[in-house]
Amino acid sequence: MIFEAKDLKIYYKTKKGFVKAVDNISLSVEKGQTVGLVGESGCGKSTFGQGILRILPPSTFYSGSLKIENQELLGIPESSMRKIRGKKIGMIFQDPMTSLNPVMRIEKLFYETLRTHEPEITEEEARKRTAKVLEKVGIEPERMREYSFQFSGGMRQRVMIALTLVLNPLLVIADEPTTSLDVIVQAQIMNLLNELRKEYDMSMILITHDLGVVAEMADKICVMYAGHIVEEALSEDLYYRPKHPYTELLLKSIPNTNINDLELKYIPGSPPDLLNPPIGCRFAPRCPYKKEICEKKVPPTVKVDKTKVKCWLYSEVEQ
Amino acid sequence: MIRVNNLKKYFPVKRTVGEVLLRVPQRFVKAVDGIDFTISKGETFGLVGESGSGKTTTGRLILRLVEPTSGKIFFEDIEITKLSKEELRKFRKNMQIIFQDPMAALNPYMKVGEAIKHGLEIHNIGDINKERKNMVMKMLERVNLSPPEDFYYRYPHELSGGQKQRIVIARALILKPKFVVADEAIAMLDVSVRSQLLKLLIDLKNEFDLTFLFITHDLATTKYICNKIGVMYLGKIVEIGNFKEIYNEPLHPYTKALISAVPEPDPKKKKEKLIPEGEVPNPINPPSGCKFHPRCPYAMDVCKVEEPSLKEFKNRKIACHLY
Repeated sequence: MIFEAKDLKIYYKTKKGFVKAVDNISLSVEKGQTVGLVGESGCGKSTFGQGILRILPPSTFYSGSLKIENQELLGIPESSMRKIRGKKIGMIFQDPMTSLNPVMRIEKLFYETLRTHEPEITEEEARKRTAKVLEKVGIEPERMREYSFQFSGGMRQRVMIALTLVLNPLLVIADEPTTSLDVIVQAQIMNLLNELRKEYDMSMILITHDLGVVAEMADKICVMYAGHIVEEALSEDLYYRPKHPYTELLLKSIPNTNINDLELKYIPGSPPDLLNPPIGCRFAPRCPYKKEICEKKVPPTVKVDKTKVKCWLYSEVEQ
Repeated sequence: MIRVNNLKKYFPVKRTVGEVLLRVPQRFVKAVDGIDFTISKGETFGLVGESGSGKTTTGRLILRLVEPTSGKIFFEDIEITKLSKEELRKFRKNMQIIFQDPMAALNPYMKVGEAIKHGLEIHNIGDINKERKNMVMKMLERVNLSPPEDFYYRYPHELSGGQKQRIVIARALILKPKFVVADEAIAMLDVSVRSQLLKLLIDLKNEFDLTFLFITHDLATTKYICNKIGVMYLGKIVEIGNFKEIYNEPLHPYTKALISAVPEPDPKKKKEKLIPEGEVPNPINPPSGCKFHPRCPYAMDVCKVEEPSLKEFKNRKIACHLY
């Protein structure tokens, strides 16, 4: 196991109280595995990704455990965390324009990144490694003399991926890597990520709201709703045998490519306010199978076949 | 209902002082380069393509939010391109637009109820303030923002993305337009909210008897709403016709690519993808011949030299040398 989060809680401190963005999440990633994390905006998936790297506001409250290669990350000082970021855990952000410094040439960006972790590296050596990794992502190495704004959106995202790969991290967190891109470029970037992850034997957490994107890449998918992981299953099980009502409805609500299926389904209502989430199951107010207990107690996570699901519908079976 | 004839829009490229002095000729971005189409009453015409294909410019041209370089636009036999400013302002009641980014489309200092009412004031619909307010309340309820009194006095930043887009839709429809341009109206929203809003748009279309121009880059959503579809690439329409026929059997290599790029949620159905290399070329300096040839897997010699024209083929029009 390369990465493990156990009973992780990440709460934002606000004037009105704590926003429980991530509430008791457990998730593990094996070597070479890609785990998809799916959910709507505001379900806490990006908080989870950024919380792993501890790049959230300093007032954020953490509890539980976060381990990379058996090293505990929660509670370690900022100076040690800096050695983890990039080197052990890399991150690909959604918007490559805001995450690449516009006043630095690409080669400088790579040099700075490499120097943080390998202080003795020469510019010459850095350039060599930059050229190599840029070629891998399909950018001509000569373009390292240019600035990020001279690249198109898709190319910028390639630079971002190269910048993550140059340190060869154990785990890559990709937070909506293709959301701001066009369909065709999106498919190109997904193909590229897929090839690279095989080549580098990369472990990855892929955060996205698009079930179509994860299904094409992930071995395992976790569905998040309002700070909880409500279902964790293999890609195939999730699609063919969804257990949680939310997963079921979410799958029905995405437009498929079958032209004769013209019925448009959606989940009525909207996700709860995480400042004061429902006491029981957080999906209960929108759930068509709601029972009395759902509104009173948070359901436990139980295992049904190979799937882990957090729902009272299945807990009763166990009792 | 809407007829577009050889519509063109060239945007001039800024020259530096040096270039002006050296008399470097003025260059243009051919955002829309001679397109023709018609939309019949009650129809929904989908305009699809990547960023930079000119689809948004087309939508804005039809409403004359930007002035065309040349070409004609007819709205029920009235030539929009010939209307004077004052006539156009009155005419806009008939045609409205739903923008992509609701945060940018709404005035942050204006209560959303007032924003919706504003259109009524401009067009002098309803006599007294109270009557107008009632109309706004009804409209708010119709776009499922209830209770309406709760929403009327809010500012845009107090609403979620989906709610803001509902306000934009309400603002467009309160004038009872006949024709609506939806420019990536649901692209920025979450999957589940997207379906909710798409459903709302379809219901409203039937209720208000609307004609739609639906601009999008996402082919998967078009199937629910479009009867007709036009695929654009670098300012030109490359394939146009009945939606079902094109979706079931795309002929132009670019249409094929667009359809195969749609992510598939079924892990067993890993489609064979036909993804072209590279990205949309620079429109200031487009490729010679067929503009798609540098990325086209079927490119022949003729494609590099001669630009294909739109020809009738299999019940549709297509611009490709293969057919």
